[in-house]
Amino acid sequence: MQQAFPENEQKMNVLICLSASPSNQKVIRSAARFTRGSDAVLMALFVDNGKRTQHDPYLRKNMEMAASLGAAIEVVTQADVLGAIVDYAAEHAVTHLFIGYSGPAKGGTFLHHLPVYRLVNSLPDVDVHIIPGTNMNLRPSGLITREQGLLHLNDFLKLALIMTCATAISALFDRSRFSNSNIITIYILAVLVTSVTTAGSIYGIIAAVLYILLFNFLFIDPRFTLLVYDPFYMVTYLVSVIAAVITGNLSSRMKRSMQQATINAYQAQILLNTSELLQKAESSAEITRVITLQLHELLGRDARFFHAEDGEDGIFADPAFADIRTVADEEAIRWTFRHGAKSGWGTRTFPEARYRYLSVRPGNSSDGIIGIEGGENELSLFEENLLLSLLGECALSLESERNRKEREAAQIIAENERFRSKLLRSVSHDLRTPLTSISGNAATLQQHEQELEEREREQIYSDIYEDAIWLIDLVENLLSITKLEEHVELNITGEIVSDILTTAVSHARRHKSGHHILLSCDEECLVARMDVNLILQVMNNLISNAVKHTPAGTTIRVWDIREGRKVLIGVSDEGPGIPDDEKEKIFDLFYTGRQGGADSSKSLGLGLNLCKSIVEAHGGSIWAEDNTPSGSVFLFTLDLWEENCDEAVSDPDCGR
Amino acid sequence: MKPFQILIVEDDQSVRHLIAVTLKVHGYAYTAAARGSEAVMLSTSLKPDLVLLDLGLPDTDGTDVIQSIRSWSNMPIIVISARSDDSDKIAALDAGADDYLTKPFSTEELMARIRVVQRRLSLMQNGSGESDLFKNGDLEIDYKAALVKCAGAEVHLTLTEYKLLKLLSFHVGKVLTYASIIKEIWGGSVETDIVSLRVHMATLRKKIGDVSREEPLIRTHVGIGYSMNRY
Repeated sequence: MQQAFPENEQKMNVLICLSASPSNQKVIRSAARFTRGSDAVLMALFVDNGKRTQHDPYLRKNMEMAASLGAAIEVVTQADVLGAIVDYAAEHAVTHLFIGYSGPAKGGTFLHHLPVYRLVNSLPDVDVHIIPGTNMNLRPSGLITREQGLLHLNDFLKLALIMTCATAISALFDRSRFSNSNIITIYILAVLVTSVTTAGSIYGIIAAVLYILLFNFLFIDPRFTLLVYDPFYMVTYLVSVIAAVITGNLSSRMKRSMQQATINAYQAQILLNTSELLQKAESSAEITRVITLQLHELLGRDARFFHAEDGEDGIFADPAFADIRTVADEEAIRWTFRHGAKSGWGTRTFPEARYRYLSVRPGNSSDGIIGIEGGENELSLFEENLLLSLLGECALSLESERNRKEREAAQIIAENERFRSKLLRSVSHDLRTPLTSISGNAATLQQHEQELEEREREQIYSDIYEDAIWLIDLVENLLSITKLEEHVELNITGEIVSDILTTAVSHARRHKSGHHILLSCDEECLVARMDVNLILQVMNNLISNAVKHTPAGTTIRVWDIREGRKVLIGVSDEGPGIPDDEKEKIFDLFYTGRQGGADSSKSLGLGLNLCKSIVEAHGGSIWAEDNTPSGSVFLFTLDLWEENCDEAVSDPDCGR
Repeated sequence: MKPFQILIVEDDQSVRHLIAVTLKVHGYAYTAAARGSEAVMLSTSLKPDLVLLDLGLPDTDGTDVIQSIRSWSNMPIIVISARSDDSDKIAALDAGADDYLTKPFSTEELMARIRVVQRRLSLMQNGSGESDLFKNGDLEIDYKAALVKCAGAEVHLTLTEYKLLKLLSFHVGKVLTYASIIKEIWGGSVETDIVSLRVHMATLRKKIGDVSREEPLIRTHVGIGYSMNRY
C-alpha cells in the first residue's frame, strides 16, 4: 500500500473536484490510487458555473473516468465554484479532498486567484490534496474553441440583421436631426441585443467593433470615411465599447443562469414527480415499472428493468427482449451484473450493444439493472445527470421497500413463533392424557391380565384403541397445520366432490362409532377446486366432530349441493346443537367450548380452527347453523372448477 | 396345497411384530425381513405369494426393491408408507406396486387388501384370467362383444368409459395412478386430463350402480388413482 491511511478508523470520504481540464485526469488518478484497497467512499463533484458547458468533451471524459473508478458523480450549479465545493464537502463529511492546481489562470476571474488557499482555510478538518497540473498551459484551445467559439452562420445572420436594423433606425434619427448621442445609445442597445441573442461573447465584441466602424463611417463628419476629426469621439467610442462589452457579458451570463435555472427547475420537477410516484408504489415491481416509465418519458428512449433475482438467465428468458438484444447486449448485461458498473452503448465496455446497462446501485447489481436504449444521439450531460438521479431514487425506494418487507416478514415470523409455542404447549399438555391412558392400560394388561375380569379387559382394550385413534387424528391435524403454516402453495386440482365425501364417509364408518352416517350427493357431477388432502381433512374433522358430540345411534348426514358457481357441503347431526353465542367462537383456535361430555376435555380446539383456515385458504367460508328439529349443521363452500365445468355439465350422461 | 406365503419387509420392530401377529391369527404363513437387500434375496429364494413392503427402509429405497422384484416377477406387492405425501405412493405404484397402505392403518384394512390379492390370484390360477368374459360381483364384461352388464341388465357406456372399465378390469386389484390411466387411454399426460378423467370415472361409476353399493366395485384413491376391487 502506497499511502498511509489516517490513524482513526473513521471511514474515509474522498471528494474529487472535477474540471474540464485535461490535467484533471491526474487528480482523479491520484485520488483513486489513494483510496485503492480501502473501503473509502469516492465522490466526484463538478461545479457548473456556466463557464464550461455540458458539451465540453474534456469534462465528459473526466467524468467518465471518475465514474469508472467507482466515484459517485454529482453536478452542482453555482457561480462560486469554491463555495460550492466547501458546502458540498461539509455536507458529505468529506475527509480528503483532491483538487487540481493549474497555476494563475488566464481567465483572471476571482476564482482562479490562488483558490486553494481559500479552500484550505474554509475546510480545516479536511486533508486537501493539491495535484499540480503537469501540462498546465497545454490546455489546447482548439477543442474547446472549436466547440464553443465556432462562428455559427446563424449567429452571424442575427448579428447582421441587428446591426442593419440599428443602422436603419440611426439613419432615421440622423435625418430627423436628433443628437448623435441617441444614435450611440441605439448602437449600444444593438450590441447588447447581439450579446444576449447569440451564443458566445465573441459576437458582442464583433458587434461593438462594427458599431464603431458603422457609426464613424455613416454618421460622423467627414461622412463615409473612417477619419475622426473630433477627439471627443475617440473617448466616446472607448467608453461605449467598454460599456457594450461589459453589459453584453453580464446579460449573456444572466441568460445562461436563467437557462440553467429553468433546467434545474425542470429537473427538480421531474425528480419530485418521480419520487411522488415511487412513494405510491407498493411493490418492487411497481417501483421498477414507475422508473422505467419515467425514464422512457424523459429520455424518449426505451428503458427496461432487469431483476437481479431473475439471474442472468431469467433476463434472457424474456421474449419481449429476445428480439431486441444482440450478442453484445447479452455480454454487457452479464458484465454489469457481475461488476455492478455500467456497460453497453455509449460506454467503453461493449459499446456496440444497443442498450446501455446501469446498475441501480453503483457497484452492486443486487437491486437489478436498468437498460436504456441507445441510438444515434448521445445522452446530454443533463440527461446523464437525470438518469443517475432517477437511479438513485429507484435504489432508495427499492431499499425502503425491502426494509418494509423485511419488517413484515419479521412480524410474521414473530406471530408464527407465538402461534407455534402456544400450539406446542397445548399439544404437549393435552398429549399427556391419552398417553397416560395408553401406557397405563398396556402396563396393566402386561402385569395383571389374568386378574382382570372379562368386562374390565374389554374396557381397557377399547380405551387404548380410542386414545390411539384420538392421537392419530391429532397428528393428521398437526400435519395439515404445518402444511398451511409453511405457506406451501395449495395443490389445487379439480376434484369430484362426491368422491371426496364418499372417501370421508367410508373412513368415518370404519371407526364403528354406532352412528348412522348417510351420504347424499347432488344429482349433478360437481367438480370443485381444492387441495384434496386438506379438504379431506376438513371432512374428517367435521364428521368426527359430529360423532364426538352426538350420542350413538343418531344419524349424521353428509351432503353437497350446487349453489351458483359454488358447491355447498354440509355435515348435519341430531345432537344437542350449539348455542347461538358459540356458533362463531367454536372456530377460534384453542377454543374448547362448553364442557359437555367426557370427550371434551381431550379437545384441543384445533380441528374446527384448522377447517376454517383450510376453507378460507380455498377462498370459501365455513359456518355453523341449527339443524331442524335438533342438532347442528356445519357448512362450507368451495368454488366450482370453471375450466371443465362446462364439459361436466354438457356431458349428457353425467348426472343421471 | 402350498400355504399362502407372505414376505413382510418392515424395519420397525413393533410394526413388524404387529403385522406378523395379525397374519398368524388369520392363518397366513409369513417371513419377515428388516432390510431391502434381505427382502430382494428372500423374494427370489422363497418366491412368496405376496410382499408387504415398507417404503422407508434403512438401506435402500423401497421403490428400488419394487423395481428389482418386477425385473423378474409379477408377484403382488402392497407398499406401506408413513408419509402423508402422495408422491412416494404414486412413485411406488408406477414402479409396479399393486396397492398401498398409509400408516397408521388398521389391521382390518390390511386383511381386506390381502384378501383382494388372494381373490385375484385364485382367479388367475383357475385359468379364467385370459377369457373373453370377465365376471366380478354382479358386473359382467364381454370383451369380444364389448358388452357390459350390471346385475343382468345391459349398461350403455361411451367409448372412453368402456376403455376405462376394461383397463381397470384387466388390472383388477391393482391401484392405477391417474398418470398411468391417462397414458393408457389418452396417450398423454396433461394436467386438465385428470379432471376429465375424474368426470368420466364418476359417470362410469354411476352407470354401473357403484354409488349405491355398500362395497363399491371401483375404489377412488383420492389424490392417487383408481382400482377395481375383486369380489
